[in-house]
Amino acid sequence: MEWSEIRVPKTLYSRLSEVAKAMGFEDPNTLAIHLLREALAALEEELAAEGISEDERKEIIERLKGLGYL
Amino acid sequence: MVSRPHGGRLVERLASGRARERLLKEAGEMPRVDLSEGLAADVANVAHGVYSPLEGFLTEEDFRSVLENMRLSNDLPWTIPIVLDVGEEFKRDVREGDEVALFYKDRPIAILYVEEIYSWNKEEYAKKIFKTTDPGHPGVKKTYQRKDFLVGGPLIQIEELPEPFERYRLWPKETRVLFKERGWKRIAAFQTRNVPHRGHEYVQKAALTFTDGLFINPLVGWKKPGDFKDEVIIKAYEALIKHYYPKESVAFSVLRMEMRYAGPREAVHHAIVRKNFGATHFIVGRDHAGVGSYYGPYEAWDIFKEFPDLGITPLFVREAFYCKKCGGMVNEKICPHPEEYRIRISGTKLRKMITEGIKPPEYMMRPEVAEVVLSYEDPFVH
Repeated sequence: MEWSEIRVPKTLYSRLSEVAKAMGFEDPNTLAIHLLREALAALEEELAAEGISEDERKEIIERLKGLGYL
Repeated sequence: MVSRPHGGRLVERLASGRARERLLKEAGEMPRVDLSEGLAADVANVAHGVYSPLEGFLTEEDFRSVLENMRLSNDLPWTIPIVLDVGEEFKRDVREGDEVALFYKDRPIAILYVEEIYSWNKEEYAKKIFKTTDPGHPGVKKTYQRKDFLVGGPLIQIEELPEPFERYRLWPKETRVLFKERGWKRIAAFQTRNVPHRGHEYVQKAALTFTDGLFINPLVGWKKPGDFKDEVIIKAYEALIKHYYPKESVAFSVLRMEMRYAGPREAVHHAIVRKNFGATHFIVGRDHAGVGSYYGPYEAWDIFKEFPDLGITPLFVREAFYCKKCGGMVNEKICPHPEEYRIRISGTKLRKMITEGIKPPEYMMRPEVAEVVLSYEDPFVH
């Protein structure tokens, strides 16, 4: 895996270090990656589009009714 | 709310109208690759968004990243490589940038835009994916039988695959609409390759107790000898749902996808796939997707710790057993009684009884389900 660096305030780094130690993470970096992934996934969820048109939805509903699902 | 697709967008790679007609004609002129049933299923799964965000077979950068990091090169969790293997002849005759026709049962089903042809180390693959290089492992055995090169690139499907269980084939677009129409916000998905016994029923109902809907989604397609045939699994579930489930809270559909028997990695893969179907929760069983004693019984639970960004919540439900003292199905967490009161449902024992034509007792399998299974002269894959 390739790596890039980001800068965080020293105070935040200290908090990361303490929590990482308490929670058994290898180091503060590993905890930061874990938290960033979790937070970004939530933000990306909000940005995602549904991607089904109204006509398509109606067509699908008809098929589902035909198969007995609805 | 149903889960957002993995990567944010439900992939659709289906040709339609004139474009489809043109591609169908051109397919006959293109270099041809004949697909196995499993690979053809992978094509359809890409095309219908089951494998979102994948738009085709993995290119080398993604392949290496999945092998090494269990993530695509854009950092999105992905644990099982979706790859197309080709031989020396293909490498000699086809260049990167070419289009090739993918055939199944002598019919063109898709066009692949060749982005890369690269070599792979099957032993390294086996070690990373299956955690063993033992050819006795069914997934490793299949890996060693594959061809020496991989071809990556996006694809577009031009023909639907024949589906013997059409009545139960739903794609992610359809299940997403279904869940919304039923007003389900929390959906627990259950993956299976078995006929249901009381332990499965207990786990499913435990999950349904605190969700709005249960999505039972058995795999159909290649399985190892000794597993139940697809038709038997479907008929057995029909009986169970008819007699023991609230119909408005259950959706049952099949997914054509090969079992890899890759244990922990495959558990995550199964979860991602069900996320694409719209499920918000995924039931992870004991020794999920395992085989023999290659994986620890709860190894598939531990791996989920590495994916805080999976976007689907794993549900770890303990193995259920019948307790004579409690008088019902329970698990270790809720039953205080010693082992002598506990009757465990062993898949091996159940298979043996069925093979011998013996009806399993009701605490192991519902009588209606047992009758269906026993009605087959030979319910097993050989």
